[in-house]
Amino acid sequence: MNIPLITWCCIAAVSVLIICVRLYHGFTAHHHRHESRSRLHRNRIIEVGSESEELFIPGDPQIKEGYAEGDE
Amino acid sequence: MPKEMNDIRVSAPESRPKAKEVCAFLAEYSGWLFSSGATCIRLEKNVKRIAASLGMTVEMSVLPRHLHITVMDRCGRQCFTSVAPILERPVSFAINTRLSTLSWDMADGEVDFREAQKRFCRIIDTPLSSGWAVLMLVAIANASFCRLFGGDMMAMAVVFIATAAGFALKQTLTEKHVDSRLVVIACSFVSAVLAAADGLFSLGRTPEIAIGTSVLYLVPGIPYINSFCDMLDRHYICAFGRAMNAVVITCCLSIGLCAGMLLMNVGMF
Repeated sequence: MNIPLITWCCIAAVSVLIICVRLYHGFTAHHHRHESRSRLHRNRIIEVGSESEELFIPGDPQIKEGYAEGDE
Repeated sequence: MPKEMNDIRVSAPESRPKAKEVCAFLAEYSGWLFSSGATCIRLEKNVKRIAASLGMTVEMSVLPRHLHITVMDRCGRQCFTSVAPILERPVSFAINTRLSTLSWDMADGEVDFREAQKRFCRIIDTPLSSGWAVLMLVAIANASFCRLFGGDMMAMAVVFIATAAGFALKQTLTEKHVDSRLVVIACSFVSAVLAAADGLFSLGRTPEIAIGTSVLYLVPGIPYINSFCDMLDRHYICAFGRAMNAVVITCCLSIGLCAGMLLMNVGMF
């Protein structure tokens, strides 16, 4: 019986199995990540933007959103 | 950027944090820096730089598995000691560099203590490099080593595959929290057996180089270098600890390699 050949075949088979399992886990993890990310950051077609996003001239001070007194 | 301790900008007394907070922060900071592959001299310099920027002094002792840190304010009224464990985690030069940058930014007065704490949390949350990318790079590096040692193209290909298989096994076993020494024995055995294909199937003309270089990715290079650096800096206990750890890993590597060679009927000497 050729022990080196049998040993080599067993180790090679186990290694291929490990790599396949890792690939499978990698793909499923990537799929789950991608799904959850797309659920969180879904591109909206219509969205109400903030005032500074619409009316901003370079040099304007960056102020917090919200109206000052008397603006309402 | 300050070059000397005297050039460090010390924060104003009223904005200084308490010694207890600084001690807890520095203990965690040092634990992470050390675990990421920093030498003792870098650790000491960074920690003292941060403490100086906060108007405090620090003394520390580095042991193989723990760090003791004592922080005192300049008046000597407050003094706290903290013990931080050294984490078992992969070496990361990205974290290492960013933690050093944080200490310089604090010394420059660009980051206050609260901001430093936030930045530290962001740094330690840095995800590790992609496992597949690391696997490919390690396999390519090992195949290159094979070429450097005189291996032919077939030996390089065999080493590439043997390394990739061994490294995949290493990643899998490490994820399962298997003891690192057992991991090294198993991986070196698998790599040696697979690399023996060069001689077993008469694929190339340099089968012995293929087997010899197939386990090079397991050689603990960073612990050996850090151990030598620590010894030069007279941190003998830490240097001895690191050296012993590296020697044990090398022995495990040899056990796996010899077992693989014996099973494959490859002449050793």
